[in-house]
Amino acid sequence: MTGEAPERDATPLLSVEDLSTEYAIDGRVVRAVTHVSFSIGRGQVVGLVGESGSGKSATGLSILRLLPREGRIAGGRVLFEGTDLAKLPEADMRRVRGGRIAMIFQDPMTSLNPYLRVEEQLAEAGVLHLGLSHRKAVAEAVALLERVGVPDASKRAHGYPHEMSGGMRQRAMIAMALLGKPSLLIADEPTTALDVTIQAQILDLLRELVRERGLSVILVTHDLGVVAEIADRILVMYAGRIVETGSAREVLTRPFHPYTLSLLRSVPRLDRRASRLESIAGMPPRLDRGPFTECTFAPRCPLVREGCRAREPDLAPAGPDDRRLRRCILAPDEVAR
Amino acid sequence: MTEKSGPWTDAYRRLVKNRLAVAGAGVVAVVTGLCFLLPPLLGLDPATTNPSIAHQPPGAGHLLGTDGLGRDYLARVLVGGQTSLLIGFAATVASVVVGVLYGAVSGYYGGRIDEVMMRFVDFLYGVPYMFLVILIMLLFSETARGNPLPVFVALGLVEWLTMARVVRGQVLTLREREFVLAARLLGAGDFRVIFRHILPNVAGIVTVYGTLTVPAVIILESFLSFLGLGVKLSWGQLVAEAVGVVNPIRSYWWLLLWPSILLATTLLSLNFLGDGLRDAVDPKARR
Repeated sequence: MTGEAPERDATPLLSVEDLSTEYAIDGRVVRAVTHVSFSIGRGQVVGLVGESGSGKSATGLSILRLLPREGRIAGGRVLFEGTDLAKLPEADMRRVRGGRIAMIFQDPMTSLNPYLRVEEQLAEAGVLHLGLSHRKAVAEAVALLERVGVPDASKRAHGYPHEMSGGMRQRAMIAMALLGKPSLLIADEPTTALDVTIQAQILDLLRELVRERGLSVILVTHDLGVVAEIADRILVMYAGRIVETGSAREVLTRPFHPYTLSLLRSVPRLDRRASRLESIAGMPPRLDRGPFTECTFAPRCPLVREGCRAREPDLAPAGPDDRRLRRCILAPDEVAR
Repeated sequence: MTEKSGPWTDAYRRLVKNRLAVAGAGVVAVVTGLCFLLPPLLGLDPATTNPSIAHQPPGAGHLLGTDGLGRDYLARVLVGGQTSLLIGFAATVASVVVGVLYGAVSGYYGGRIDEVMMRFVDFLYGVPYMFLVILIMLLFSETARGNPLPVFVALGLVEWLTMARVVRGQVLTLREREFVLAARLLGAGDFRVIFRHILPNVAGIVTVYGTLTVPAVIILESFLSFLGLGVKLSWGQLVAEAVGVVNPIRSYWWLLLWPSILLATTLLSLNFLGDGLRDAVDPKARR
């Protein structure tokens, strides 16, 4: 399906360096993202995987600096096309949002304004970023709606969101995101609210757009199936940290971190008969209780041993000749199935 | 889906199904039309006095009778209506503009700004409004006696508070909705988010409260006129005059009857219309 990640450009499009994000909630500091580093090249699809609260959405929102008001970037750099977005003045940041980096999210039902005609919302990026007249932007929006596969696009565009189905709305959201001609798309659970057939169509669409426009995509999801379909590389997050990275194929077929392994085991499979679906016992650690003196996954880890409690492992190469990183003291062979 | 459907067309469709609301709108339109069109068309003058026909009951020459100075009462009732309606609508518009802007800013920015802005509203709520109004009237009284402006300022000043609270509450929940985040993700600034994305969602409820503010303002103005704090010529003023000349021997009933009927019908109609609008805009709120 998807080939190996071709690194076309020497300098990555986006490189996140040591990003930390905190939320101040009721006087406590919750470290939602802790020292996260990764990069993404042009035309690449990176899957950001983890369970709820693992910090994957917070990472996406940090890149665009649209955290809720309790949140703030506590440290690190977000280098996009050579500029540190974490330090960019708000006015310049607005030109980046929707213009250079766009984002779509989970629920297409609530992401469209019920009181605005679809075309008016879609055209906005064209007016804001491409300097188009409203009329031209609407024409552009209709053309894009057609491109993303909304039937009868001009009529749909003139209607309201409630007249469209969920799949159509997600297509409209994608069209809206693409109108400003961004080079990076952050897709936060773009298919979670859709049923399976529509899900496949949306993923196909994303794949086509990547091929067609050299679009880079950060795909935030908890669904390993989705990642397997489309991502070149995977970042597995747990408790606000990256616990494993590598090419999608390698990570999914031969995980080096027990958490990734547990995640894979809790995916229902048709080719294996099991009376019970496996789940990961216990709860993720509370992120307002840091810094951690042991591996954050240790309390839930099926392979836990003495050394895991000593200190939190670093994110390090799995072996001397291995480019894959993982945050675990076990040898790869001890983890792999 | 061939039929047109949108939040506004849907609301309109629900509104026209509500007979009471439609009747209310009709009555308001007719009364407004009569008050503003008849006097110039018929050349009616509310100020010409003629002592020889003072206190004439309704009849052929003067359809609604005359008052104590022999002035045509039809003319006085209609021109008085102009003032009442004008103040009602103008003060409402002012309260909508101020209240919506104030509420939107307070709700959107939230936090400390919201805190300060809303405490100021609470403070103004706490000041007895009659005190405020009388103060303003006194300030203006020397320069502008009989001028509707001070009354209008005073009433607008009282009425925007509720509007600000209503809008602020709505905006507070709307700003957390995903389409607002989506708009900001597209690079829209605060101004654009507030005016283009949030306020259309508030328009319905603002229309409802606005419609219900008009009668509230009219009755308040009548009340002030009745107390002698009002303007030169309005329905409230006419009622006050009529009550003043009631005596055990002669009641001059028509002086009291006509402005009262007009006042009551207009207020009732506006309230029906407002209720109808509320049901149309938010059908779920119906009991």
